[in-house]
Amino acid sequence: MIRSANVKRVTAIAGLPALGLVAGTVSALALATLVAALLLGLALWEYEPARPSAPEAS
Amino acid sequence: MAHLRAREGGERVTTVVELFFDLVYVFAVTQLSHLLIGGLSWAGAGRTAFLLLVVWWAWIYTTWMVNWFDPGSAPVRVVLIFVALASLLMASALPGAFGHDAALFAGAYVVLQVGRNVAGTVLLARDHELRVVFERIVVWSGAAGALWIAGAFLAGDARLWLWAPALVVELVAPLVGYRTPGRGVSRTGDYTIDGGQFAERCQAFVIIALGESIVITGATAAHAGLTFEVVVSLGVAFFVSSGLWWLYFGEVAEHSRRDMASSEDPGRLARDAYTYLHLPIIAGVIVTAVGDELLLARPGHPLTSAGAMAVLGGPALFLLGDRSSACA
Repeated sequence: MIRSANVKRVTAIAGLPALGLVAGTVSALALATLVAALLLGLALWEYEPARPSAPEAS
Repeated sequence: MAHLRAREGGERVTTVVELFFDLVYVFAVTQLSHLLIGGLSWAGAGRTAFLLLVVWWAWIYTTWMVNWFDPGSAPVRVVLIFVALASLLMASALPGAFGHDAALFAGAYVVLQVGRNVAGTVLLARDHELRVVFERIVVWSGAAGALWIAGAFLAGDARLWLWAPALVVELVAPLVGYRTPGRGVSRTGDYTIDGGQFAERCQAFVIIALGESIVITGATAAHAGLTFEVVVSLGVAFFVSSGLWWLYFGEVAEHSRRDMASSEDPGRLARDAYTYLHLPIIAGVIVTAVGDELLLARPGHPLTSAGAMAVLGGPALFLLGDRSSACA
């Protein structure tokens, strides 16, 4: 799980400098929208809802 | 000991005194982001980074102290109020730290660091195991304090000739266990800290930084005039903050908190994952807030290279810090 999370984070960290390639040609709003999409996309990609713990055997 | 927290029985929560203390740091973080946006250059970024280290060091050392001491004890509460006052004076002087407010900045910082450590020593019985740890910390903070005060008498950036070594002394001290001639060395196993409470406090600082970024974006949008473009930009800036919040407070934060609570050496984790590796996380949030402010100023135009670095570099710094902290 940690290794999978690492891959996702590395992908996102690499994605941010890649956005720098278009930073000079798109508006600030467009660039920030791409950043927001990347961050929220990563959060959703990583997200695993907490599972209820199993009842203890009596 | 009357002034120390009880270590047994139940999970401890953050007290209202600690929350009151944190309010001063909302102001300190705001000062730092204003400082960065007011001098968006390599030199300005370097000065802001330097001052962020100082602000963080003041907050995290107080967090260490309050993890051991009971904020319900009247003397501890009085110490915290004075530390909060000194923090407020230090934060007020941040914009002029390299200008005409150097003496107030350095003086307030030294008083809060050395004063709190001396108070911690005095509040402990002579035979208590933490007493010698605090005595070593007093020696290190006193040595750094002399450099901070002397540096304040130099002009402008020349202060860094003494302030940079002072900061190095402060940053290195925990790594070398506050080794002091004649007083020995403190190992992380000597710190009987409450790991869960320490993790929760550091999460609170991340909330402070995120809250400050929301305040800045809201105020900038209101000042710019709420046109359609500005309102959409405000929404996008909020989504960026939401993304940072979710990434930090998702699974990783909860795992880290549980790891801290159950660790056999929570002192080492608190030092490495929180005291050191939370700095890039906080810096990332502050830089992102600056990027948001630049976005709201001119949403329809391409950013300058410095602006693009803030918009992209802030989240990158945050993610690197979050990853490193989780791996510590």
